[in-house]
Amino acid sequence: MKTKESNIVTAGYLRRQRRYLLVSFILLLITLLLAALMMTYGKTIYSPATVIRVLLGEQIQGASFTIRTLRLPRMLAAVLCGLAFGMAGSTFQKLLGNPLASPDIIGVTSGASAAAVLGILVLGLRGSTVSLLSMASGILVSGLIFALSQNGVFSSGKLILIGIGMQAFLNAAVSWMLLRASEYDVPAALRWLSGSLNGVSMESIPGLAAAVLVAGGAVLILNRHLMILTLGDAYAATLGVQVRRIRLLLILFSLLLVSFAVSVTGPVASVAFLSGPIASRITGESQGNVAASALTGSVLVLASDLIGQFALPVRYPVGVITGILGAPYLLFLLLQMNRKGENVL
Amino acid sequence: MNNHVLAAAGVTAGYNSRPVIREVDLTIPHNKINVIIGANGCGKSTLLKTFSRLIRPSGGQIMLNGKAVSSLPAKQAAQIMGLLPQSPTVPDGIKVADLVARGRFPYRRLLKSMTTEDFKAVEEAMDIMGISALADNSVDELSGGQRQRVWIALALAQQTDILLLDEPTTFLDISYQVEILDLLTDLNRRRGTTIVMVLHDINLSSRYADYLFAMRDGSLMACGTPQEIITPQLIKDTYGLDCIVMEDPVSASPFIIPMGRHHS
Repeated sequence: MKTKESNIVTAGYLRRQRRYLLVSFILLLITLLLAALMMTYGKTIYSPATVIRVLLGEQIQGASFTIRTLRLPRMLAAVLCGLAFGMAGSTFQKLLGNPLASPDIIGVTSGASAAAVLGILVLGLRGSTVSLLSMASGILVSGLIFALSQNGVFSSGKLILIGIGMQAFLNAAVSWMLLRASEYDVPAALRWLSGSLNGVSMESIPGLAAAVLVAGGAVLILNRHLMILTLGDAYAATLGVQVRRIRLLLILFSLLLVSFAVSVTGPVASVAFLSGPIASRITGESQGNVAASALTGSVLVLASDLIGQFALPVRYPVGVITGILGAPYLLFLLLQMNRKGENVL
Repeated sequence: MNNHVLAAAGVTAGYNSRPVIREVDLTIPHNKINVIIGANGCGKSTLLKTFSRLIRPSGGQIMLNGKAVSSLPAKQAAQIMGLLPQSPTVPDGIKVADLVARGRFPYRRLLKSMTTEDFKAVEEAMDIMGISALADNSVDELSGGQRQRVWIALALAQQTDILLLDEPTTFLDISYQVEILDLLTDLNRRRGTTIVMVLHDINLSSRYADYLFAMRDGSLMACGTPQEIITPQLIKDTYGLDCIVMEDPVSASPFIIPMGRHHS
């Protein structure tokens, strides 16, 4: 009897772990599938064979330009910024113990975005200088939000409210700069207000890829520590987690991910906010789900961009589509928390 | 049986440089059940938190086997000493077995999955706490008493020789209180785990404790077996309460009957 019961414990744990791995693997397959679709589908449809030949370096009239210069950077940016937003969003939500606490809701992405606009349109900067500037601004804005919410008793609710206010302010700043800058045009405005993959060039990909590799890898490695942190600081400390150091590292790496992604694609709306909760739902939340959240982010961006480009009568940038997905979930979340009698904030 | 000796040497500690406990000297007898009692705000929880490294003393040292605990690597200390905090957070939707498994954190290598030994520790902890059948349930759905058993199972899976518990029976009804204290006694008798806990109920404390530590205003007032120290004078000194001390008819431990303005 005793051993039979004991087996149940381990068997259940392993079953949930297998489900997590299976779902993550399926998400990976969907990501690859959508990425392949993005390479082949468009105004002209190229066969997979053509795409592969072009990618291997063969020159094909017409196809080479479309595939190598337009579609490849777009697809890579979609995958990478999806991974970055997905990981950073779920890390913030877990650290602060609130699904509303994702970087796109609390103004961190807007901070990065405002700096990117300032750098590109006002100061005339390009490339990784812009990424670094937007990261510095992301750190500054989050530091400011944390500092303001420390006033009196800290609560994640206060942090979220201050963050939402910060976001409104920063978005106003972005709009103002866009209006003032001589290069003002609608696509650029949309990129910096809600995120877009239009006009992403191959030059911006290596920096973003390196950031995702380094910071994303670090967040993955620290995922087990993050799981312990969700039990509360007291438990984490008694289980041997160095609470302050680990939390600081997780915040910095998440900011790095967000800032690099924002400097390439703009603050693609709601991806950071949605990825973690969706990944939790479909994996069953037995393990830390940072890898699943990252892949969910990529699937969201790829699918939304394909919908925005081809499924509707007018072409919309990806951020408009993801924004439309995010809004009802935000409402649902608020209603559900209200029903449970929880204080949302 | 274990022979880890936990002691406070001249410990002063508190929050934001305002000391709550002052120059406390005490040694926790090993393999025993130790209970810290005292009025609200006397520094019981602060003492426990200082023992478990949550609060860094502003003066003095917490000593483990004669060495300062602060000099031990965090994970190594976590293999010797565990703490059940007062209000841990339940992650959304987590299953019982997965929560208990987190107690294995101090033993796990980076990026390595759970070993057979880890699983054995989790199974055993859940078996002792009688929650194996709940393994696949969500922790949110459990009753207060069941949930407390899950948290203790997590601390057991940590397999520490010293277990600190901050008011493990608060918010539980009387039958669960007795049940939790019985389970902790089993653990102490079977494995020789040194237990240090803060309790509010003096009568249950003197029934279950081998040693009592009575605190007042951040200092240690008295320590010893319940028979040695529980007197009307001590209760008057620590709680400002008049009482009669009788013998508990069930356990023969001291039993206090409080008096008040309307009853004396």
